[in-house]
Amino acid sequence: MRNIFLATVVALLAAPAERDAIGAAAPVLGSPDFKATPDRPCGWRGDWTGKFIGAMPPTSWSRRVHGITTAIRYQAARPAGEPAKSSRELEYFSIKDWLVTGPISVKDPAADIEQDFLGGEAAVQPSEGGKGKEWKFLRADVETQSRHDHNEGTCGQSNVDFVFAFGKLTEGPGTKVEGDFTNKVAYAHTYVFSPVEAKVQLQMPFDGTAGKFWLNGKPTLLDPKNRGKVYDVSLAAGWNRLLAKITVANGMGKHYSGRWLSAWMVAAYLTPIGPVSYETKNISWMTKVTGRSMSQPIVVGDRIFLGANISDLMCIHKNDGRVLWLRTTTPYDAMTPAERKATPAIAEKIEPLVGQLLKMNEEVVAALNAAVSPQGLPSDQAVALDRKLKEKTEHERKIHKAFVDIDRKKYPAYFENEVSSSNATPCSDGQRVYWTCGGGMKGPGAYAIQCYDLDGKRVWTLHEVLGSEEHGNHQSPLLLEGKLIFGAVKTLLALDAKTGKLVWKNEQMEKLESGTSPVAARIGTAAIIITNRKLVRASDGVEMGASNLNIWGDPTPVVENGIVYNTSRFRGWDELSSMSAVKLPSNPEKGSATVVWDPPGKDLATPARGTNYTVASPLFVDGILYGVDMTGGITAVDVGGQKGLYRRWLDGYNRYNRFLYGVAASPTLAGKHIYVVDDAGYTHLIQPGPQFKETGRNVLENIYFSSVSNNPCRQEAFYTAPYFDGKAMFLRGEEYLYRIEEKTATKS
Amino acid sequence: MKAFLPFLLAGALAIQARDAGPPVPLGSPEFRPTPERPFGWRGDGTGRFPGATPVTEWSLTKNVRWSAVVGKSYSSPVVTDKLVLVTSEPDLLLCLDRAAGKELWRAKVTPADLSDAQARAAALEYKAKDTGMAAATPVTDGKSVYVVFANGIVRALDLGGKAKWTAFIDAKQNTAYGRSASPILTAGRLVVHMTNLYAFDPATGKQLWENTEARCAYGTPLGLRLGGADLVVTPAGDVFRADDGKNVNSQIGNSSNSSPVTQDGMIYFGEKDVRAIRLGAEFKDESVWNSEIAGEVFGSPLLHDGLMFTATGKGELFAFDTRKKGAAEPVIDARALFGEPGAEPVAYSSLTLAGKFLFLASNQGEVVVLEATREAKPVGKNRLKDGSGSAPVFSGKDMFLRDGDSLYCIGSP
Repeated sequence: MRNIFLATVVALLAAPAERDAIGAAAPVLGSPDFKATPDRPCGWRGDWTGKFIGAMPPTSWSRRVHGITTAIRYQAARPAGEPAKSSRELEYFSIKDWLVTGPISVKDPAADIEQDFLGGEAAVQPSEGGKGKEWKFLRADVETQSRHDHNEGTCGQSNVDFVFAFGKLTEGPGTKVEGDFTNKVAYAHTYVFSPVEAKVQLQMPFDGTAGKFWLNGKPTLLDPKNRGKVYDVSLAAGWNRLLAKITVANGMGKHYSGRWLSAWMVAAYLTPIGPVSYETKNISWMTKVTGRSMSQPIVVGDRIFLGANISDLMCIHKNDGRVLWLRTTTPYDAMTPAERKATPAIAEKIEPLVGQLLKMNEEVVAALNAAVSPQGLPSDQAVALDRKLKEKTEHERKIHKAFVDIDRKKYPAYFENEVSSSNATPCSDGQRVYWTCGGGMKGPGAYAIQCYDLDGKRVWTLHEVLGSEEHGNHQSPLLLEGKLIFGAVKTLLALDAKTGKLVWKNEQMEKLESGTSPVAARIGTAAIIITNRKLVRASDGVEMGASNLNIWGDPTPVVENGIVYNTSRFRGWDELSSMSAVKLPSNPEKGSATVVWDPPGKDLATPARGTNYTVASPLFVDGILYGVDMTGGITAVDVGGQKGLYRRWLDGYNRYNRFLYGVAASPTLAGKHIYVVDDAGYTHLIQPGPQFKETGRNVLENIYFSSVSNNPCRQEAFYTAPYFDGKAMFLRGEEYLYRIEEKTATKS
Repeated sequence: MKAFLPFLLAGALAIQARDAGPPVPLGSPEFRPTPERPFGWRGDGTGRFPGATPVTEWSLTKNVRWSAVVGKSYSSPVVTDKLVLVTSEPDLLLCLDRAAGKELWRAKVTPADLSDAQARAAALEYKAKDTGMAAATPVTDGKSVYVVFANGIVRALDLGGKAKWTAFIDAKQNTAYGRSASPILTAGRLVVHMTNLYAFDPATGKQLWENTEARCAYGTPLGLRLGGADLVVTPAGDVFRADDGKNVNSQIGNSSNSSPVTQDGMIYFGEKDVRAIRLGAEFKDESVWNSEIAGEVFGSPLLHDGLMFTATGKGELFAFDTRKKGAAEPVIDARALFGEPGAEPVAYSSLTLAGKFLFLASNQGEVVVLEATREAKPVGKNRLKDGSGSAPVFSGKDMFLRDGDSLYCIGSP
């Protein structure tokens, strides 16, 4: 099959605007001289490939709490003096290394939480393989958990999974566990080093019948009705002993579509007591965004554009982080004066609200700009700004609800979307910026399609009711040959980028999926559009044939030399999901893509447990296809040789389900490294090549005491790949846009 | 069978959930499930078994009349006077003797049964997702039983287990977690909502129509009569004529996991957008009252005595006064039935009424029993072992409840 890949090298190019039209002399994406043009627009993943070849990006940065949690270390091994080399920092407040013992039979898992099975629980100081009870080492991570919830395959927490620890596990799809986990108790113990006496907060979410912990011998019963409860505790200077005990009636949980969910686990987080400030390294500035979103920032000249909150398009100066302008869109912005006049309720109910919104936005911009700094806001100062942002959000929702009252079918609210209705990444031809917002999870689905000049002047806005998928719509618009392409559910639209006028509409797209954005390719000189299920001519929107991608999940495929790659191929719960590739037809007028590579998952993605659901899009570098998935795993495949090179779980930080998964952001090439940002904002630097090599790891801690995201794990989530521009990396989380560039450390 | 609905609302057409007159013969093309012959999804689609006289306390050792190993599925059993019909993963339809739980026969429904090679290949290619292969509850007209599997196979069998016909729906799945909508018998058609909306002739399996605009999710469509017309209302709120599948209105409600229900000339939707709709001339919709539920709802709403009950996946009970107008506040607002709501869903099943009690089963094997009143006073909480995600059904003194891979008949000995 290798010849298939080689034969089409020249004829077919991805991201048509980038290379062929401009020539080799043009500055490449990521270079400081790169300029978006109508022939070479920027947008989703830079130029829809995720490759910022010209970038000279930072490789080392951090944001850590300025306080005790940054000084704490922990280790499973019984200490002898100072923390051992193998001790770990308390990154993201998580304790991952433990000694565990069990399982021990109990008669009554509820009542027996009070029974001492160690012969001195309060005084126990275990060591691995020591005398008495046998204790064994366990690092709580994706790799050591049996629990892989739902199709995302995530663990939910950095859990000590007693079923994994004491069961006999068979890897692969339909994972099996052997062992007796009925009416049992087990213990987990770790040693925590604090240089000074300190008060911190302890969270120990657990699964099981009952739980208890001892800190330096002092017992506390865990609250089974409030498993995320925060306990105020005091650490002694020096070594502290933390022991957890969990009883369970049925630790096996249940089988679930061939996988099973452990029901016997505990995790531990030591978080600072507020107010919290931060110290940062190589962060030039942090600008608070108006709300949660997966929209990737793009850079056009000296300006950054990104979506935020319900319908905010933000323009931020790339050098100093100032918000230059902020535009919020409601259906009102898409109405002509005549349309507004024709409905009396517009003047009566909507216009006063819109007027107030504009005023609020002015105040919000001023407040955001006052908060720009290299460290971000200390937690106590964030409260007032978060309150202001929430007021704006509530006001905007009020406008949408007023529109629903006017006509619920014509004006479904924009804000009903998964994560956010501002998830789309903007795109630009260097003169204007284009963006879409809206969605509507499981709802009718209305969208605002917008165009602005770079100074924020609204050029055109359309309000379209296209329907929505059950998880909303997260597609980013595509700028192609002067047309703005946007799709939802069954409809793909092409608008004249200059005027917003409809060029063509194809309402037979069958299913465009929530997150799979349209991408472009060329066949000869003709541009075509690749969607989840179909190939479409860019000139007139006529369907050419099937794309045959079989995408499962939300990735947007990448095109390389006429081959379209998909990193999420569902093959059933009994098989591992895998990757696949299709070849575009040679006729630009008609024809379907043909499957050239569709290997079983076991050939590519082992070891894997459960099913590796994928949101992130693939990255193709020098013949190797990289995919990252929601379990926090990275897979590399030699596409020429059609063989898996490696699959590894990245040692990242999974927290609460549906907020911090494994990895949602697409892997991105910048300079010499692949940047993989996990959902906790932990960035792994991977060296491209056939062997897995991680060359850097960077932490961005941000613990909430208030937030605009309502994220229950109180840790900023990152779902979005970074954008690179020269030496700078721009990364957005739920709360902030970060400019990261190598320089010296600062302190708040 | 009660006669026609007692009144015609001003400005609206009367909705009849069923025909008037004497009961139609079993197996006739006009058969549709009724309160007296609740032989399908949620009995007659309402989840109401008002004539039932169930026990309210049971356990593995108390009030179990029989249990039988039937395998797992999210589907509910269907109970006739003599039989219990139940689907099981991945491809089984089982028939049990109602009195003793003895298995009378089982039919395996596989792609090999399809005569068309292309259909066979497509059915084989299908990979079941979270809801499995057999989540749809079967329906019987008393002579034949109709089953639908997620791989697209639709089959009719006689009540002796012999296949009568097999059809295949060749459409790509457009829902993320699988296919779960149950088939319904209405207006002489077997209506199946699987990617698209289909009507089959129950006698022959011939496809009578297909509508590709009917947005499909997980809930089961509602069949009803409006004026002189038979209609099918989908969970997404699209309305179709049962005769020819023509779309007559869209987005009158907005549900996904649950089914709409109808009573006294109104159609009710009960998920995030809770809404009571009246259809008027030319099927034009009027929103009579509406409310919102925060949190995802999986089960379908239940109407009783001027109230609409429903529960979220986290086991929070809601009730609304169905006589309200405009924006309505719940009369029961997110009352936790299974302890403090956690991060994960605990109840996929629908609320069911039996006699004067409401029953809600958790995925873990607990069933709460409440008085079916505005106060919804707790009556009891009973536990079997493993749970199932399917709803109990009732008949006379008996309750039929799935738990793990078993089916239990619960009732006083």
